Amino acid sequence: MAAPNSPPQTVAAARTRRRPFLESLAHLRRDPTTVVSAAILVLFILIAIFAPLIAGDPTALNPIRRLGPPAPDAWLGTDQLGRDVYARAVYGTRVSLIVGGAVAVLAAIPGVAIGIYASMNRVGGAIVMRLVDALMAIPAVLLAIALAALLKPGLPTLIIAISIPEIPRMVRLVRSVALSVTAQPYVTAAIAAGSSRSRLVFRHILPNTLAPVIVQATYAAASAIIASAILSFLGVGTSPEVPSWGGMMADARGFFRFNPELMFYPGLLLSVLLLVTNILGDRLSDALDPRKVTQKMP
Amino acid sequence: MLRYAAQRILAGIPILLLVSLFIFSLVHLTPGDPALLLAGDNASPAQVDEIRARLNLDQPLWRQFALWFGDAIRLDLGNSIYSGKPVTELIGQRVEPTLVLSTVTLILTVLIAVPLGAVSAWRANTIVDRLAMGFAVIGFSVPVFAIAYVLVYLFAVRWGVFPVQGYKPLDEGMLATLHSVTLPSVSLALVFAALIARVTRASVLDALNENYIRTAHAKGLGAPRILFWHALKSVGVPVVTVIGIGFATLIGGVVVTESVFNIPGIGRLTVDAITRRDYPVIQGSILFFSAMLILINLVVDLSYAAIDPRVRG
Amino acid sequence: MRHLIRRVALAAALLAPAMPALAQETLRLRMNGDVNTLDPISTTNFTVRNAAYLMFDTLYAMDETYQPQPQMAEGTEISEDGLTYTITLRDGLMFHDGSPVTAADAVASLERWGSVDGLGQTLFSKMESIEATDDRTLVIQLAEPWGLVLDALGKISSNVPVIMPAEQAATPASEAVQEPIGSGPYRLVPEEWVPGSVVVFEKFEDYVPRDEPPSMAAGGKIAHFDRVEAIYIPDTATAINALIAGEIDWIEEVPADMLRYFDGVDTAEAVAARQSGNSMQLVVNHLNPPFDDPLVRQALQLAVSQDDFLLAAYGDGEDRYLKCAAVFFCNGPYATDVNTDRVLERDPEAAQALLDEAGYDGTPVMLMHVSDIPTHDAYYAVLKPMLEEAGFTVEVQPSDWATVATRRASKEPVADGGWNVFFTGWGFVDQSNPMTNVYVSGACDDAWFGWACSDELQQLREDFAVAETEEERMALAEEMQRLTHDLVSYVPLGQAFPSVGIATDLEGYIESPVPFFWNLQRVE
Repeated sequence: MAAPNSPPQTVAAARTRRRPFLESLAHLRRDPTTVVSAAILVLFILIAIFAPLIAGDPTALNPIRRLGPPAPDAWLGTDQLGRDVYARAVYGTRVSLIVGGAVAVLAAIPGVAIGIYASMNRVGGAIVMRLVDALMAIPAVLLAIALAALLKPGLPTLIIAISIPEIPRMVRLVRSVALSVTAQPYVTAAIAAGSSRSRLVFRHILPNTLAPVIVQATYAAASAIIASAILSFLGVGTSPEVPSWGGMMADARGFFRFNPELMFYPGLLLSVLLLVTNILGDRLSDALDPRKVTQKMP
Repeated sequence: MLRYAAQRILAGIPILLLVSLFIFSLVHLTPGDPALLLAGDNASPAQVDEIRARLNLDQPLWRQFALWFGDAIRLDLGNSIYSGKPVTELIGQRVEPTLVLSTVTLILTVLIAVPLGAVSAWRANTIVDRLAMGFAVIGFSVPVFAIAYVLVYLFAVRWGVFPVQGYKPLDEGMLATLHSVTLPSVSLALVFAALIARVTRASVLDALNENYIRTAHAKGLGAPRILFWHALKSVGVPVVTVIGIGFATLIGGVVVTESVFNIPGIGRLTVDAITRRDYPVIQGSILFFSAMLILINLVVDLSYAAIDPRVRG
Repeated sequence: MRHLIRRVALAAALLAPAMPALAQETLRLRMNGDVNTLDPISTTNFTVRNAAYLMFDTLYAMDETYQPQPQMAEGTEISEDGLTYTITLRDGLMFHDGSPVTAADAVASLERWGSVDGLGQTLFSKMESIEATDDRTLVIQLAEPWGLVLDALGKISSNVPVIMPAEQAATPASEAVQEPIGSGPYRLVPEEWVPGSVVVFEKFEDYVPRDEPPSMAAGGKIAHFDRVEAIYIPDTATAINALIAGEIDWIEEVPADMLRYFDGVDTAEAVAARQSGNSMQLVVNHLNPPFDDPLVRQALQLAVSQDDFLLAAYGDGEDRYLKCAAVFFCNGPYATDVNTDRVLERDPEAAQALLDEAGYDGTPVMLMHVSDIPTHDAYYAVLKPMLEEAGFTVEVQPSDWATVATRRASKEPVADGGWNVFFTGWGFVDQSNPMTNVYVSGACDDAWFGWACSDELQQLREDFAVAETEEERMALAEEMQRLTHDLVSYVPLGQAFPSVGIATDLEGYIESPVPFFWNLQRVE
């Protein structure tokens, strides 16, 4: 990982900065809670990838078999339109994971770029931070609902709608980390020694923002998963026949009294996925970010 | 202090302006023509043009924004496309339920979260701490509408103790109101308390490590007294801050709970307006929420400064 | 733990204030949608019609035998040649603002109604003049004899010819009157109207009911409640739970799936209503692509299967629905199976072939997925895969009923707020009569939403109005049905007998295809 042709003192500094990062990750491998959570997350990912192999068609309607009991071809019974609940639950994993993963990445990349820019440019930074303040003054869920409903409906819209409110949080975080890095004596020394701007970014700032950004991205993924469920529940997420846990729970409302399992299955899956994501976020945060620059937000 | 307050209030104005700009572009850059929606049954093209002119939709966008913002600061947010009523009137009708729901939730949250977080910190790394924080993580992980439905099923449908839905306004009596918002507030508070409990725990841990508490300990003061009289005092500030920040989260929850419990608040107004593409109401109600957020953060900042003079500067 | 819960529950129950005292005076209704306007001329939306009946009155009204009876009118004198109708108003009629109802108000109101309603348009086309000769007398002068004048004035369903003050009736029919004033048994309380949530009515103390006993819309309308609230509860299960818990008194429609909520419940019941039931349709917009092409419309007809819709909406309750493609209702006087095969047999391959023949270019069909009415919700979910299997491209947009009921009026392209198709239902009274059935008018731009256009249909309706024998009328009705299905004005989705949910402590609910709330009272 260490760059071979860096000036000696920078390499040393970078090493002392980076080693704890890898070491703390290694340390996590010995924590049973972390290992179990990670295993469950991997299981969810496998389910999502291999959905077509382990479940039937989640959109096939069969109105004659409405609200049917568990059967060999529908392990968890059927919903109000006779669709296989098991297949919908399995395919629903896809929407949650895609939204969670995509939002983590889509919040991180512009967040890091804008955050670093804001830390290095005085005037531009001030303008960016005012914009960030303004975006953060709009309640995230409302902003996401508005974006999702007013643009062309679909999964990409849903992801964009949830990502946009996440970006300002990332920007604030990255900027504050970058500012504190630039203030470090060894970095000011490097700047004085004529180190270039891009070197400053790639050698010093980026490596140091990595840990908190990973933690924050994990939290962003958790908050995106719950946001997509809320949006589907309110009927502005993905279109109604695309299987999603939030949508399944919304459909189950009318049958809650006699078929509570229709709400229970997707609710349980959603809760477990969120639980392991949150636990992993917490553990990563304890290990990588002991100063707690990241902010936990549901 | 006064100067600081003035500074902070002035800083809020450009943010509000930017927020308005965001909301305005959000609504105006998305497809769909409000004039056609408004024209309704069998309107002739001439009538549509007339409506377009009345709503200034024939003007360039920057001018439309200037006109809208000019009206907005005079508290004229236009008329709803859906119901034809002034947006300010629609918001005014619905402020009370949202405010009551948020306030009761906030009180419940503090009552649950602060003791929980404090006890966790006091017994840090014991089974008590693990259980309490385990609850907190679970609170984060269960969607608020799932909690809400379970509560409705048990307390409204099965035992008939609380109403299934609806909101009783304050002028029907305080008790009737509280009775109608109990289930929604509890559902929300369970989620929100998870956040506050974690922050409280972290702050109390910091405080417990500070010297004066160690000194108190050395002097032989009992543990509970230390906790509540020394640690909690220094915890107040960060917790207040988090409540301020968390208010944004709370608004998200309010939107959902208002839908589940059929409470005629601003959250439902906003969501309904969005699905109906009722542009003036979308603009007005999101602006209202943002103004509330800015105001609350202002109050939080000011109380922070009032408690701790070092913050002013 | 259970004990603790019980005890807390008990304490909370004791804290609950004296609700029963209030409940005695307030009637709480849950309609199928939100009441976003109370002007029943500006829309045919049944939710608006039902709410409007609380506050408006009509000159004539249908009784149980579908005969028009005087309501606001004292009576009518018909000249011997059948061309002059002299209608006298009852004494003491009063608008809610305290002004008296005059014949001039009635003329203005009828003119507004006649500018949009199908039957009203026919009535006005038969007229030479309509005028108020004094405060209590209006005279209708016909150009040719027409036997349905009083039936038209007593039209029970949308658009109902309600009477409002002349100043309000001057509003164009396309524009909703914002705070309408009526002269019915209940008065709108505009200050308490929260759009999207609740509309409040108060008993109008100056209303003078007729002496006759109530018979459907006719007879005395007695307001027993001080206050009526039409509460919008989007989620039906929540509404039913609220009804059972005594929080509301009436639900317009209980979906078949949810009938079992009422098992073993003594506070509320589900009653099969609207004696003759209603029918569901998929309405097609003839103005927008792809359905501006007759071949594509026929492909749509072949793409859908009535059985699946009926099953999705009514489940196992086979006694609750009827597979039916008769334009004028399967058990109506003009029921026929002419030209219904093409509607009742699904054939996706033939549909695909028609699409190919038409050169369908994949223009998406936009579905406004209504989610606040369970039947509609299920229908949209069923329709999408059917269309896709037949080769249509489909785009879904989440929506609610009030929005669709507004948007369907737009003749614009889909991108500008227009539409392609929507589901709706009509009652027996509207559909069984070729004069009022909206799908057989063929009136192009002046037709009901969808704007199906056919000169032949227009001619058939004119012939029907003057036909002299029942055989003649039946033959005309069959021809209308043949043309309507050829044209694909709509796709029929069968008939059903839905249930209303009603609190068991209510008495005096009037059996009618339109729900009325006068005479209803709470008993101990």
